Amino acid sequence: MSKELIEIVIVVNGTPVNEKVHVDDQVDEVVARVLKESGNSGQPLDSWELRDESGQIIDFGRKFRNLDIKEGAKLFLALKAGVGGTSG
Amino acid sequence: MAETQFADETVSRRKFDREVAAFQAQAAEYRRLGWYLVHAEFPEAMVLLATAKTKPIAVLCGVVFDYTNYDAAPPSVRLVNPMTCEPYKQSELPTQLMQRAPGNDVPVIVPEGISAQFQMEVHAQQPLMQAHKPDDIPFLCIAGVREYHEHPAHTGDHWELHRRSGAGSLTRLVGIVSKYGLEPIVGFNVQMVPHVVFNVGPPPE
Repeated sequence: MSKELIEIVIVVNGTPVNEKVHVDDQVDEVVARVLKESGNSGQPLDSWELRDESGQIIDFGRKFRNLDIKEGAKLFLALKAGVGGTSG
Repeated sequence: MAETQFADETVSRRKFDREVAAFQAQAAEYRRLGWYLVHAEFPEAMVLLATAKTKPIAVLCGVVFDYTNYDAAPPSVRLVNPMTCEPYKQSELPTQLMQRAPGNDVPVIVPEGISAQFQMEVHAQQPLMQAHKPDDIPFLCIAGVREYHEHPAHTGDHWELHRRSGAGSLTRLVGIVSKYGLEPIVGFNVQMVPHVVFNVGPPPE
């Protein structure tokens, strides 16, 4: 039987947060939880971007069961650029 | 010109050290993405960005972050020549950090014979590196960067609105330069222009 709970590390703007994730958790639920736990409440959820160790973006709408994320995996959560480049 | 330190320097130094430590704690992962922290001495840190997907690997640019007054004020970000550490002028930039523009793609007139697939790949885009003239030192025009918040066009978007969400963090800013500068690079584009001249034999007597 596959493990239903996995422990992963989500690095929020450089600060690691250990998180227990159920395989049926959706990514955005976990991201919201981690942002709350790390005190990052100033920006809406869609201002953030989650990547795996190889730099691939992880879709917020997917469940962990459908992702190739294993126990101990490290994911990276960072604020997106937003809309920029319009001032010059 | 160096920025004057008006915030408590002890606080800025501590926050700078925290940014550097956070980067170094994940250095192995960042190295695989092509990010190398090569210098960190308050108030400046320098990161080199190397192309992970090309053979041979190439250094795209250096990025210098100036954390003077952090985080009472956001950091300054400059793309620099990795050999001399001199900031690139707008006309010298190895990358403009092109971002796909929001809204509709720009309609383009595509010559006959170009496939529909190619037409689908033409998107509106805008550079995140901004300057007024080719000889100006460009700046990274996003929230969380000193030059953005000091620009008259962004007086309504205060640093205070972004400060507590880590908008000025070193890893976040390196990640953005990497996303728009490094990641789109998938190989080298070699342009060869053939030069055709007559092959002339020895001149007749």
